[in-house]
Amino acid sequence: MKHPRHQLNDAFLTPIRLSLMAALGPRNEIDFATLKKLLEVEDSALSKAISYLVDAGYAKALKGTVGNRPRTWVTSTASGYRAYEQHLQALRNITRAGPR
Amino acid sequence: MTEEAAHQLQQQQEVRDSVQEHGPSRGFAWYQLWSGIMAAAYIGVFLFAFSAGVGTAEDSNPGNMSQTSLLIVPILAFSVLTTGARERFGIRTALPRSVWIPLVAALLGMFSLAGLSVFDVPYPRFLIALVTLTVLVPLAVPAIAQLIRAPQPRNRADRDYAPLSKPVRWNTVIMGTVAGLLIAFDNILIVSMLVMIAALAGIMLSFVLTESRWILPQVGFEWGWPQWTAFGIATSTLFVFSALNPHLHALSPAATVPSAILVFLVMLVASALPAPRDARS
Repeated sequence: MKHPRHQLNDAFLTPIRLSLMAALGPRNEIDFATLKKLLEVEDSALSKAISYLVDAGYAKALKGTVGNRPRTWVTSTASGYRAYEQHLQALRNITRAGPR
Repeated sequence: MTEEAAHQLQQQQEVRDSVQEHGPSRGFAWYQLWSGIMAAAYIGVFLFAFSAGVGTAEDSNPGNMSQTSLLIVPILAFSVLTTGARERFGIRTALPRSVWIPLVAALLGMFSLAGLSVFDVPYPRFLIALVTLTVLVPLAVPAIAQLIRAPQPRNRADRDYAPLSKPVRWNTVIMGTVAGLLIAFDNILIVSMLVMIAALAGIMLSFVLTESRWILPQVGFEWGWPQWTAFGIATSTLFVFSALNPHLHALSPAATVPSAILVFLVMLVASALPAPRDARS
């Protein structure tokens, strides 16, 4: 039987990307500034994480304007949230399987 | 490996808890509730006003045409205002898929009933209430649940209020003027239609002058609860007249003119009131 670590998804192996998907959940749309505050990260690190997930097809970045100021909103895709849940399941299985 | 996995699980749970705590805010829940009530009210009034025997094309009452403007102008203005209002919220939640099933069913019901009205086929009035509730319940229940769940602001008195910008103040007054004119000239078809055309042209400008501060999304973005309450009063008045129109051959100026002045004054006062700053800053 394969160890559950083989089910981990490379896209969520960095803490920022994992936290980003946790924040987005299945239906949340969160703007860049709010994400930055929630995840306590710098602009560049957050931008990189968003770009990675967008390129992987796991998140969508939507442009909007607020009081004529451009603003970016991020949301997860259905396949992205599924992949994230599978990753979480793999993490749970690892903790259940115990050290090897 | 096990410790690292447990740490990651804990970390992501903390983020989820933090999102749950920070939002979607009560403001967003009010926005969703208000949108649900507006959509349900529009559908209910539309079906009631055009239901069989009271507003069909064969009816020569000129009020039947002006009731269209009483319905179309506020609902179009509302949909454009909300595109700006939703930009206030840092965390927004999309409707769950399960909500779309009753909404699609309600839309089909609405089109079926409207079709029956066109062909003068009578149907029981409770069907109007059923369609209206099928829209209202799935939209309002999640919003009310969020209002109960989301924490109250710690100190309302400390809330930061700011005056509306000049373009938004003017637009609020213009909206009050348009609503007042639509009500006051409800019986004069030509004036009612001209006001509607002018209002629709103003609404359409929002799609052209996207960078301007004079467009409706900017108004929706800046408005706070005092202005939304005033808009609610104006819209309710328009909807009431729209519903009454087909039942009375001509609405008396004794009813329309004071109502028109009242609606205008409410919007005028709202334009002068400050709005909570919140996400605006």
